[in-house]
Amino acid sequence: MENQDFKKELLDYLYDEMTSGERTAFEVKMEQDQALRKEYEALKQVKSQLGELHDKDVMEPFPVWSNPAAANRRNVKNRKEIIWLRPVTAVAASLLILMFVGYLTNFSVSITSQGWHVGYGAIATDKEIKNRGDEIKELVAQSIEQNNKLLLAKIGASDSSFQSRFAALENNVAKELASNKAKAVDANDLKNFLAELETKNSEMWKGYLKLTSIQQQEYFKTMLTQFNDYMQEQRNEDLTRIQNNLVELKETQTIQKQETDQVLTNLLATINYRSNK
Amino acid sequence: MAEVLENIAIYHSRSLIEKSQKGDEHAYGKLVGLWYKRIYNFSLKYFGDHDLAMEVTQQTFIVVFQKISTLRDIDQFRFWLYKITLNHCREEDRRHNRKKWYSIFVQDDGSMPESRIGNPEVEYQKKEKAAMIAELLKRLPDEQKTVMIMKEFEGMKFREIADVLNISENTAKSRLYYGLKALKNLLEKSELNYKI
Repeated sequence: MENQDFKKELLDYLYDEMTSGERTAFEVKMEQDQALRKEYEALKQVKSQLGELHDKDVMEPFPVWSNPAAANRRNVKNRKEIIWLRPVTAVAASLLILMFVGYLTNFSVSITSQGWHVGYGAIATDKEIKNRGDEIKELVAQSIEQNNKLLLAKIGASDSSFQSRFAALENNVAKELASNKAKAVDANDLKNFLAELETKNSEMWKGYLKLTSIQQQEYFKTMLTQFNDYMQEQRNEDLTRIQNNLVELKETQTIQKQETDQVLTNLLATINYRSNK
Repeated sequence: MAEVLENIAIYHSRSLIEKSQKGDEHAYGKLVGLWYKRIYNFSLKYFGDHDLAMEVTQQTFIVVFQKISTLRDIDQFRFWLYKITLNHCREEDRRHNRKKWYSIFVQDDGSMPESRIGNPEVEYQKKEKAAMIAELLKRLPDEQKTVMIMKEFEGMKFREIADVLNISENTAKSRLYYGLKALKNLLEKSELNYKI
């Protein structure tokens, strides 16, 4: 380490604030200077140790920046002073709210011979409770009696209505029976009806069979046409293929002929050359 | 991924700053939401104490709200915010007259951790190690610690740190160098078996 600039360079290298050229030059310098390398390794290790210290998550509190007075109350000293006041204030406030609500709802607590009573509104005395009990019994008896009367009246009315409706129904049934007896079934009419029914069925069957036969014929005809088309197509394809093969064969023959001519020419040339020699 | 998105949002909070400058409390609330964690963690590393970190963070955002309209260059918001935070950290530090720090070792439930030696649980060791580093960080001189937090945890360039602290880049580098060296010595002396 020749001069004091190494500190600057070392930190620039450590925190990657060098250009690529500077980095290369510094790496060469480190190769030559083992003390510098050792220094770098030591700082790098401390840096990696610092990496163990991670950020902590934190929630920002209720915004108080626009109200510095409120924020200042967060001062540690003040906080300690008022910390014990918080529960007292909370309890007092709760009691006040309870009292106010109790006043509005006429909340009351009382002791009678039957024990403690907590409720809304005035608490009745024992005598009042007894009197109220008799009153309630009387009211219930009156209500039941009234209800019974109404019920009996309704049953009576329903009974008479039911009797009259039943009599009318009975009368209607008797009339219907009498009229049916008068209508005797004629055997000839029945015979005619059956014959007519049979004729209609027969015609319907004939029509159905005829229709089915026509449909089948049409289907068969269509199928034959399609089959014919298919066969024609196949035939055309076969013809094309044969034609192509013939053309190919012809080309092959031509090539073979040319090759043979060439071989013969060469042969003749060789013979001539030897004879001249 | 969420952290990356948060960082992107932080660096693109221009419109929120502009609205806040016009007194829009809703926009300012969003701006605080973006920066609160960063400023809290900066303060936490400075003090190593949750209550003090919360206090400083709160005070910082109150002052920022009061003075944001005076910020002329919105691009400088980040550095301006760190300046205010650092001033509050130093003020709070003076007020508490460098009390003996202990809260970093106090668990969330108020209890102290068990012995730091020979615990087989890796997670527990990691927490212990982080707590130890935080403790050692607090022991560094203020100027070294500040540069280290800004560089290592806030990811600021040396030029930016120099701007915030009103010092030269070389001074910032020198402070960090001596800070790292001091931390190395403290780590070596620490009772844990973390060999440097």
